[in-house]
Amino acid sequence: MQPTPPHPRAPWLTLALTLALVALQGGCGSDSYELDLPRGFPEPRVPADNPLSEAKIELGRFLFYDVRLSANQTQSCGSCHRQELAFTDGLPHAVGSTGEHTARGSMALGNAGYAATLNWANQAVVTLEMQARIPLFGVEPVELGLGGMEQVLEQRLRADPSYPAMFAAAFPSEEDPITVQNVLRALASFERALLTGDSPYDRYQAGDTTALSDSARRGMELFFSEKVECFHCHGGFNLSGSVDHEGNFFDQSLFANNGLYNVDGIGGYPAANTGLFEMTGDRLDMGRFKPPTLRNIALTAPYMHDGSLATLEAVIDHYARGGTLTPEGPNAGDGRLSPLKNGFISGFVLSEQERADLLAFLNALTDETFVTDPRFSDPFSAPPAP
Amino acid sequence: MPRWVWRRYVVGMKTRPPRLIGLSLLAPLALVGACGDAAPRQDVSLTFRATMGSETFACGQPFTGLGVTGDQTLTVRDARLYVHDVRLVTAAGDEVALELGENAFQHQGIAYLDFADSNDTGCEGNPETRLVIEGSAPEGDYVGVRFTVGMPFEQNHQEASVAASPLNITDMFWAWQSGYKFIKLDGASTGVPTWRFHLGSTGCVGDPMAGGVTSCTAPNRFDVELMGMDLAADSIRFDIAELVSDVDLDTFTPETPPGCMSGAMDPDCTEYFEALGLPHASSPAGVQRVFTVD
Repeated sequence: MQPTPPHPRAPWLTLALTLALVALQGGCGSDSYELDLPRGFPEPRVPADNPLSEAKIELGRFLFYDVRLSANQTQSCGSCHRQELAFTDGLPHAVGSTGEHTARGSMALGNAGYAATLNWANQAVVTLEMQARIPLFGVEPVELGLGGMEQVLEQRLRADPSYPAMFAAAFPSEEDPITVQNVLRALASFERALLTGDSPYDRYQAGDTTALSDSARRGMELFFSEKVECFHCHGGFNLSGSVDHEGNFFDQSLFANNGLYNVDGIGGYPAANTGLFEMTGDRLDMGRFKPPTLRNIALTAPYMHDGSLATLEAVIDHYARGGTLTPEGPNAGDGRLSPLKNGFISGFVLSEQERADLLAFLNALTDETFVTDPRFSDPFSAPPAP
Repeated sequence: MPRWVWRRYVVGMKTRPPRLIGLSLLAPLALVGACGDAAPRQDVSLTFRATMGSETFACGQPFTGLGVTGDQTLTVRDARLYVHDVRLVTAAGDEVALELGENAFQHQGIAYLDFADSNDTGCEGNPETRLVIEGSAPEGDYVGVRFTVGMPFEQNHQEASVAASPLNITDMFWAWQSGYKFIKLDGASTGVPTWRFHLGSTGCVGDPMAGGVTSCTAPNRFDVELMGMDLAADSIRFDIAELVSDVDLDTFTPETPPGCMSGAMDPDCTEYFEALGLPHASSPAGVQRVFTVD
């Protein structure tokens, strides 16, 4: 018999406050919810059938951290997306609730509402609602393992003392709001609220010249230089080229091959992780992955889609070399010689000081308020000792 | 011809130019019916029977004599699929849409069929089975059936707005490839303990601005035409043995899913697709042989 999850007592207060806030705002979804966007951020694109509201975001937070969203009630979204690690898990591959491994690492969820495509190399999953189905119901591998258990999930939620009221507050026009579709909508709404834009780099951009050390400032200049070229794939307000937002008129999906592998001498990647090639079958897509946001990158080791680069130093070495050399084993090959790698990965020479500067800049992308913000924290975790 | 007769003709018909023979079939209906919708209709129930060659399929039971060697064993624990665009064919060769009733198993012209009761020994999925497609059509003399296996494009890629059963069965979600599983068979062979055949659209591309999929390079829907049918007496056979007749059930290409999950790059899929009349890799589309008149 599975142990029952801890009864969320502290969240009763949160619930009461939330409902009070919703009531004060006049309820009934008549006012549109305004996200508190970081300075310089555009409006994210929100699907018309899932407008944001405080109640929906809060419901999504509870569901995000609720282990009842796994079949065996041992894992939640928060198990592999931990706030203190900018919503990653520190592992090269994630481990699902039944012990199966994913092929790629858990992605950081900061600013997930701006991703043009979700996951590492999937050109079809373009909304958070679509993406949430994968860990919840997928079988290859099993992550949360709820495939076929939609009625069990709905029963679990209905039986909870708080969820019926929370679903009613989040979906006020629906007679029976506890549905799988609304679970997906609430989760997506919570993810859209995970805004991160208060790093030392951001404060420097806003005018605080003391926010970056001299070393980090020089590193920033290197990052945005034509010598090092990071900004080509990791630029813009989210330090990722793969973004979408309200004002966007062009599809900015981006997938790039950065020369990490070359197992067959002609640019091939290991069979378990061929990137976008897996979906398109186009040889030119071999090894192409989405360049994710570099925000909070110091917290989200290990790096690359398969966690094969353990440290930021190793990442800088990879790009300085122009590709990674795997000397032996099944994935042996020199990524630098890959004919398929992106044209911007041509390598560069950094002095010791420049290397330290670039590292200092990458470390200055950490937003401490984001990873400690109680609005994004686990409501089921034990309250701090008095 | 008079405009109102033309309208009657077009309402139940697919895109075919009017022909004299079809017109003569409808003329008596047009005279009998009042102005518009009152032509008599008949209820139609199409029954499906899943088989393993000459034997009726039973989930959780091992069946032998299968596969490319003709002596392999396969146990299928879950077997279900979606069908849409069901049409009846008259003796004259004209098509009439079978309008599906709305219920837990049918929605917006899509029908869900399920051959496995999870309460039976060794079976998975859900306890419900569904072996029929129920609808109505104008009264007529029908000798055949056509349908498309799979989900139509629009419903395949609609997301949160689609909540009606049978489109909310999470086991049939195919979230990684963004859509639904058109056919889902799960089981085990002697050599492959977790064997799966999942058919769905691949190579799909999404548009972040539209918030959904815009096209798929391999839609993987296929048409079935069954002529010479007595709709009242005959059923439609779904022969799983035929689907795997050229497949080596006891092995699979390393680093690909065990069985076939429609990967365009997965060489194991070619023989399954060929049996369904679908193209795969460099193998062209053929004629499907898995659905036949029973």
